[in-house]
Amino acid sequence: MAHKKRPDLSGKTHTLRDWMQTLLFFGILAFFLIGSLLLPDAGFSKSERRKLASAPKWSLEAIMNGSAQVQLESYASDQLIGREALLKLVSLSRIALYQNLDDEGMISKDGSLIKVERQISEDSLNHAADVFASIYEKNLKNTKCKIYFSIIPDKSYFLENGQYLNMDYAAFFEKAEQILGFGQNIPIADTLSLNDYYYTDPHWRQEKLLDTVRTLAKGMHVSILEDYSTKEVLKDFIGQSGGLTMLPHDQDSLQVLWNDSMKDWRVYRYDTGKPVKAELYDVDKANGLDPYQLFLGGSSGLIEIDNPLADSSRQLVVFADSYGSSLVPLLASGYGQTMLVDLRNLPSWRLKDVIDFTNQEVLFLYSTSVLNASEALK
Amino acid sequence: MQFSSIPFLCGFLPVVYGLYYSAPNRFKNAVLLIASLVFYAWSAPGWLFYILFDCLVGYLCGRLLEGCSEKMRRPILICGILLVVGLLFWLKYYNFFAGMIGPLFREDFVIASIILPAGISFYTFQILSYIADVYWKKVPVQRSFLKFALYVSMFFQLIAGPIVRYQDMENQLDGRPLSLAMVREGSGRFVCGLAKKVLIANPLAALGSIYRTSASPSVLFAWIYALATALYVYYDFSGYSDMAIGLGKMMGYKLPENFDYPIMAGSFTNFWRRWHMSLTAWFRDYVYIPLGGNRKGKARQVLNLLVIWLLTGLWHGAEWTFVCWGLFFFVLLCLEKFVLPKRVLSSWLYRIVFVIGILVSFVLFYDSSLETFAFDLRAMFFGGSLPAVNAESLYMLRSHAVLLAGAIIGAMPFVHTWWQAMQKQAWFGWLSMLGMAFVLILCIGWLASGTWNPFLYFRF
Repeated sequence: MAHKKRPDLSGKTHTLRDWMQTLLFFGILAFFLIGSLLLPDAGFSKSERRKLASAPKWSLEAIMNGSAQVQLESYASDQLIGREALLKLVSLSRIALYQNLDDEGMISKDGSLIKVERQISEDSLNHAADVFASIYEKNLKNTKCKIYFSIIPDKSYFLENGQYLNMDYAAFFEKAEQILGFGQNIPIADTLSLNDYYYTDPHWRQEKLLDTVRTLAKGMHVSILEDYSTKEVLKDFIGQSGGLTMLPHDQDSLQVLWNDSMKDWRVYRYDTGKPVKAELYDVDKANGLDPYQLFLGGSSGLIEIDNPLADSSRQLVVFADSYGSSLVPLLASGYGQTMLVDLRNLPSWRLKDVIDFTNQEVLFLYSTSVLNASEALK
Repeated sequence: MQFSSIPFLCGFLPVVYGLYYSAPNRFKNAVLLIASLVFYAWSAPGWLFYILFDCLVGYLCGRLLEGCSEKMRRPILICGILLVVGLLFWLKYYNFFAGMIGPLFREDFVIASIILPAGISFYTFQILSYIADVYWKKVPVQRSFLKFALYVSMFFQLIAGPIVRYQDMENQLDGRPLSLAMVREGSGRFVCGLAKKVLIANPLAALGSIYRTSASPSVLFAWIYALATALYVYYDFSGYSDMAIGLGKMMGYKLPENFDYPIMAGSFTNFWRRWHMSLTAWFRDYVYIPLGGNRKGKARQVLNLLVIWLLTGLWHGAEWTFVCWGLFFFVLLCLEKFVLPKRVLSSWLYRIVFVIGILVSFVLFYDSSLETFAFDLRAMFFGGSLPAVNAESLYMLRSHAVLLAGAIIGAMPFVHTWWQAMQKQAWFGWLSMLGMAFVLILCIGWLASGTWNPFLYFRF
């Protein structure tokens, strides 16, 4: 026999391997059990950008209907010791072990991580169409507002048609342009390339947006600042895609465009309904859980930028997703007041309470990825 | 609670086994029974009522059969069967038949609040086999309710088998040897089953779900789906059986094998000797043979086979897909038994027919409705307006080639034979131990990542 047997206390024989494997098996399980119990609960997963489950509230009713047990299962998974490392191991196994061509729909191309949009969601586009039509009918129709729209391509737009099964973007743009047909289209896709987006994040890089902003400004007949300096805020920026996968990617840094006139601007966030002074670039947020919140402090139902140096009679209202928060500061240089509305946080039916639409310029600026998963737009 | 879940792996398992190993021998059964009841009640504490009711019926039937006159034995047997089967019928089949009968009377007899308890089909069959064996005087009566309840409810085989016979467990309930070698072998078998489930079955199911939501199906993708589905069902169920056998062994229990490389069967008759063996044997011993088996002429044998396969289909679920699935095998087995000559059955061409038949059968088994199955069947064999191959199907094939190839190879016996042979090499033994540790950690990672993880046989 390859393994030498020794008698144990009960007179049976065992090998060193019997001992070792038994200890290893229970040792691993005990490590996860004891480690997870001792580890303080984490509230947020940086790599997944989501809140982690908290401990269930035990009650007889919750136990009897099984909800406490379901919560405990989520809690145990979310608060497992070493979870972030385990997620990386899983990602690595998809790439190295299974040789999957993508990691849960994520691919790496030219150093950039791309979440591939695979299917046009008709339901989502219809939902977005309903929300936008409602805004137009209730707020914009019969006013003197000038309405524009632009659609921001997500990163998988820059793959060849059908590559990695990306969706038919020509068809998508055609449908998306129809649902915003009450406005004037300012196409911006041609001003962008994959290099204009972060390697590890789905968002675009503000420092690469000048051509795009010029195109928008030209379409809206407004003069904007042209003279910017670039400031690096965060040297090692790992965006939301970078935290999820072990696919190879290049290193990002987080930079902002700055003009000294910007220091005279006033920014207000309406998170609680009342205006709270905020920063155009919130450097503290750059070091937080989501560094992209650097721009205007992250998404909010309504953010207002007052620019005392611009023509006060020109007002801009931008309906946008998170891509808007890095672009709007560049567009705001041409307007006395710019309002950024995020319909994920400010429901469209409350718009009338906060904005009186008369003769503003209105821009709908949405990414293909949000239009294709628009359930959060209210 | 599922074996492939974080609370089980990193909570229930180490705690229960710690308590079990620390408990004196006379308390080990009590520890296991309490743990089993907690395990079963985890999803819905109300399910305890059903299993305890069935345990009580089975136990009392045994005791009554022991002490009653010969004249009373049959009525007691019938009463016991009616009570146990009646509860199963109520919980599992009432709504199925109510849904069929209701429209005839223009009434809605369906009761939406009936929820099927996990594993009821398994423990019902264990109790029925006990009552029948006591009636036939094949086994002695169990006088300890604790031991009987333990036989019915042992957590490792409670939810999805294997279906164990009382005669196999009788001595083990009284006492069983337990050694470190058994714990080692059991833990290895458990990790093997866990890997089958988490690392193979779940990704196969995810591949199947991509086909289900595909906007551009093709003939090739339909075949990939069929292959992935058949392999998924095999790995899901055999993985569970491996985990059950391993967990049992770690407590000193020896459970029967449930699978014997069915993919290599070569014929449908042989397939059912290798697939879910404990269920096949149960139907053979407690239904087919009592009905007369093949001893009462060909016509009666065909009728008996029809009954068996209708019941086999219905046992898996109260759905028309399962009924048709049972009938599908009835037809194929009758063809093999009564129509096809031996030279055809032993030909290579028939082996190909067998593989195609198995793929079709598991598409029928897994699909949610007969309409869905009809679509899949059309896509596989007739194509219709579907392209033979498209970009999506080629992408999916390339992206899942390693998984599919690995799953096919793993379903063949030579991997196990090679593995066993290599275990004699000391270095390989140590290497496989480290491999087991890595696979266990990887499985925990996959489960923590929250990927798709239902257990197919939970609903039976």
